[in-house]
Amino acid sequence: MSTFTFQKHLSRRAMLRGAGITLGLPLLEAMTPALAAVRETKQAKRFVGVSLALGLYNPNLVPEGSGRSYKASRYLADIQDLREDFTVVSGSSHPGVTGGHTAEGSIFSACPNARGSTTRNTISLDQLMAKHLGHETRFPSLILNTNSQTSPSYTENGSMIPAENSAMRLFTRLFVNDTPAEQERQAELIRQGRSVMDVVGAEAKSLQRELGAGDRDKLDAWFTSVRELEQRLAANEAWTHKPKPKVALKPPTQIPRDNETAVERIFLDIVHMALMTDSTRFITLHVTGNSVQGIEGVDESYHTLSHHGMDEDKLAQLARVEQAAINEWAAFLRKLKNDQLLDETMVLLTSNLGNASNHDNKNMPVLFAGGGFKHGQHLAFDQKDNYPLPNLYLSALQRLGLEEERFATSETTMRGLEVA
Amino acid sequence: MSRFVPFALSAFLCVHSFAAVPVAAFLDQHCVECHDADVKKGGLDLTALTFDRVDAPSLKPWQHVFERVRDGEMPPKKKPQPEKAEKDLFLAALKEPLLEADLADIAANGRVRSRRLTRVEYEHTLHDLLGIDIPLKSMLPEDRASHGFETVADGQQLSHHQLASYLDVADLALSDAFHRAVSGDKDYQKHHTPKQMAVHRGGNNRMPEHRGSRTISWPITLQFFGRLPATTVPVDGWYRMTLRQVQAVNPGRDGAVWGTLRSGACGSSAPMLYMIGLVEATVAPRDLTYEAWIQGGHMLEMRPNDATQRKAPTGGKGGNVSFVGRDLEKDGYQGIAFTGIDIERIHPNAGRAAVKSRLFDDVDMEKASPAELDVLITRFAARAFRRPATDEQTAPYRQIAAKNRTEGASASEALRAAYRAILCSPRFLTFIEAPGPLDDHAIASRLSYALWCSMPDTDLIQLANQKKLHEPAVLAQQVERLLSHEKARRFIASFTDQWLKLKEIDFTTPDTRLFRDFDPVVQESMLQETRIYFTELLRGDLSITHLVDSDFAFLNGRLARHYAGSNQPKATQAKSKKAKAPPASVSDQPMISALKPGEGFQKVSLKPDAKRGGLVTQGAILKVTADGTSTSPVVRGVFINERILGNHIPPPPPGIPAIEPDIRGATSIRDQLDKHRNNESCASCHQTIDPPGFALENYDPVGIWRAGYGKDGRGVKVDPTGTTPDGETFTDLATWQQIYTKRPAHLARGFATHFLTYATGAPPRFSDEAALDDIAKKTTNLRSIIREVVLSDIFQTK
Repeated sequence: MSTFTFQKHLSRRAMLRGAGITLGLPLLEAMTPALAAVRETKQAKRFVGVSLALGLYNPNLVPEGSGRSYKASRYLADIQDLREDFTVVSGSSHPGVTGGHTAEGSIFSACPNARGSTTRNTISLDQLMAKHLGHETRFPSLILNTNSQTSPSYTENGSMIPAENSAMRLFTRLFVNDTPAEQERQAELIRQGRSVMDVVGAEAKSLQRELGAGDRDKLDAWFTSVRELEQRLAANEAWTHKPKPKVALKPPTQIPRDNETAVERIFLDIVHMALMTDSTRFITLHVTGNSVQGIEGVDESYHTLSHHGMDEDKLAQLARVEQAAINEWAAFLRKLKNDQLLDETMVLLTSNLGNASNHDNKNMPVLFAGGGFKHGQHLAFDQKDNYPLPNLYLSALQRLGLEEERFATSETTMRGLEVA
Repeated sequence: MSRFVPFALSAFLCVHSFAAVPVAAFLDQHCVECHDADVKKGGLDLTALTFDRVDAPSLKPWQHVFERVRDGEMPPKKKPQPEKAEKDLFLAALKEPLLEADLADIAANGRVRSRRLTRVEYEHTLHDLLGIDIPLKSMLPEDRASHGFETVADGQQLSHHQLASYLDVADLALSDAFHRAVSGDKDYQKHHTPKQMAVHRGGNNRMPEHRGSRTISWPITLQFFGRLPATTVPVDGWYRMTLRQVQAVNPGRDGAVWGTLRSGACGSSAPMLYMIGLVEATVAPRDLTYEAWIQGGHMLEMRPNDATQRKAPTGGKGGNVSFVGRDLEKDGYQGIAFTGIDIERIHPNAGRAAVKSRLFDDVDMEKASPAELDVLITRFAARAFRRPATDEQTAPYRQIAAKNRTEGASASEALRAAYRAILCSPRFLTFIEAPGPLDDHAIASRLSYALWCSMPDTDLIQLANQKKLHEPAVLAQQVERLLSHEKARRFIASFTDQWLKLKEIDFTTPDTRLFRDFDPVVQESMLQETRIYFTELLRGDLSITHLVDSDFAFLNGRLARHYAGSNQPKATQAKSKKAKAPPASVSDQPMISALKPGEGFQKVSLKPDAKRGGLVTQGAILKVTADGTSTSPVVRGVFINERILGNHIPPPPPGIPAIEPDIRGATSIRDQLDKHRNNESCASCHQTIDPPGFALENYDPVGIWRAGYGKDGRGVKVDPTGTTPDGETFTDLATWQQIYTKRPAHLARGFATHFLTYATGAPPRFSDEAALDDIAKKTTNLRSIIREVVLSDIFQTK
């Protein structure tokens, strides 16, 4: 009698699915701990973008006064120990980006969108960084979501990268080694996959002759995808037999289903370890879950609360949720700071929504930390005539040593943001 | 020779060679005052637009200009209106070059650009191709809808991430198929008695009560109450489950006790429960059978799940339940009793022999020659590519197998490697359509994916091979055959999921304090109601006006009760705590004809004052167009306009903030909207958007009729009156329905547009308008509309 092994395959394969994780070329120094690898440099090395699907209530976030002498707002009062480590930006947004929730795709790409039309997105900030600098680590980038597959990370041809949404699977991919037999099976599958890609590429080419000019764009996407997957598979093959780093963090066993900010924390804990071990340097985390009733004093769903309609009770509950979300972000900063990683890591907290209650995309919430910039300030721009946020993204790119002159609709680097 | 060269307004106003002088004159007279570079009203600056007939995107804005003027939306009502002759002249002059340019673009490039299989289509296709039945779609990235549908090529994306998942999923699917073909299916069959199911296996005790020879589950709200650890299945798979002798304890007014059968790990680390089906327990005991995919290690959970049921205390300490020393039946609680469960592994799609023959035909894999492998690969490629495959096309796949063979792989392994590559080919994953009229095989694919969400069967391929499929009589016959086939259920599910946004039914959770009577049984029933209703329209080829109104509905007892419970102050509804619900049948509800307990969904006739009828009053529609706490006439208005009435609603212009909702004061959403509508530029769209939304304001977010807003309808009174954009007034939903049931052609055209978009993978183009008008003239019955769309040139052309 043969044994029935299907279930094993299923869970095994589910773990290996490509979602959210890209694989890069291994380099020897990448195997050494992050601290050793980056000690000598003065540039920033990493970027972590945390985005909230439901915005932050501006009156509780935006401080009074500008510059270094700003008075901490309600939300920022809790994290004043980090005052010198972050900059709060108000009155900025992505030019030409509208459409409420549907503007999610532009959080990190800043691509102007015409709502409802099919304009194609452009590459997101993290992916542009990973494209140039992601090849040194096991994972060029990590694209994460606390709840769904949606991500604000887009490839060069405007295709959304599905996010990893299981903290357990993420931990396994980063830190749990396969058995030697499984490693061998993986290597074999990858080798096969590479020869499949050869054929697929040739097929796409032969289709060019059969199809009309109108299909050329789509075929180009095939060529690009095949080429990129070939590169990934090659990198993947080389990494298969290299041991994954060991970390002093227990794998998550239980994901709370009633507290989105606790899920945010679990992900950020793993992100912290991923940075510590130099498993990757570019990460986005999209916080999208709707369940927050586990937070004390909250008994409605996140989405419902975000449509507060100025109702006092709802605003009070919403403030508890948003404070918790900000505090988790701050707790992550503290860990990076303790490990002396913060100066080389740029950490952003933002959202596509400036006002979730009426789905407005202006006045995006922006907290920007680390990366060796001079912080401790409030950059207060015009709430009516917003300052282009892509300027911040250009600053971030240049801080990594990339000689980009423009990102999306940027005009220049961010005014008032100086390198320390 | 091009009469229209790229031009700016200032240029065409004075260029005499521009034949369309009426266009320039009209624009100058009626449009540029607001739509120039300075004012740029609604974000439109006509002076910045170009008109280049070989550049399709440059024509898009002009098509909108044409439509807005044609439909009388522009110039706005408050501005001087053009004479009819002047307007006609303008439209004719603008239409001719637009039409010509659009047709030229379609001839060169096609309407549809390289459409890819959606993940739903991918899963069905692999099931049909291999005979397997494992779920695959959740392992592929979600598809994004464009123009309302995931099939639309414009919105489909491809990246190396997507390709990587195709590689993985193909491997997974083939691994299952080859395993079954080579090693056979493993049987699994078990009967669980009430006694066996009552064995406590550790952890908190949250099992139903074991009483005499029966298991009884009660309305206890403790998480995972009703779980049955004994029923844990060993491996992932499809199972048939029969609950034996299911019987209602203390049935309610509809003669039944409603519950749910679900599966899950039923532990706090994996709290997700998967719906298997509704349990309608009746006074007369009967067996209930379900089929579902269950993950290995998951168990069944069955419990009464009706929010109107009185909840029973746990009776135990901490997180445990206990039935010692109490009699819940005597205490009047509703319960569901049964005498055991049979669980059996099944393969709903195909047995082992069929899987084997699809992979190996009758070749003995132990002795397969290279030539035999080549034949198998060619055969598989033709099926996967949905058309005969040339030697040249199959060569690389045959080479993969040959190479694997020389490297020591078995014949079966080599074959599998070749099949994996075939399943990653763009010839499999996309629709291969050359510009111009489609060949018979491309028609077979379009038709099959439109009505079955999957590859053509042998009949269709045979007709394509004989080049008969483009013959109208043959094609019409095939439409009938496909729609009457069991696989058409896939179309009904996939189409209604997208067209009516049913897949978003879970998107918001109704606020339990405001909507106390909403529960999982109601939600599942709402979904089924709409699917069954649509199935009936399709089966009976009923008039398209049934989208708007009908004198019948499909309801089960629970949903009938939900709809009857109007959200009004409940003076008489406070039931005594102890008394049993008085036995009464649902037939004494004023709105519908009698329902029989235990028969699930039944067709009922609606009385004239039922306040129900058509798709628009169905709970699923009312729920997906509301959020968890409130309704918005704008959201519902856009939905009804776009999905039901077939009116295109342009997106709001950039820079216009939405209404700031304010749920504090006594102002209704309507008062707030009125301010918005008084603004002229908002009014031009909102006069179309809002009216259906107003008419539906009498229905709350969970589909219950209400006279007033707020908890129990005690707040501001609902005002469901309004005026249609063409000036007909209505006083409530019923009168609104009367207006639109008199416009079947309009509704038919809208439905044809949706089906055409879904089925071809591209929304109608400017030059498709006439054909859509024709279809609506020919027929206004639902099934016939589908047939006429398929028979149209649009459907049969790339």
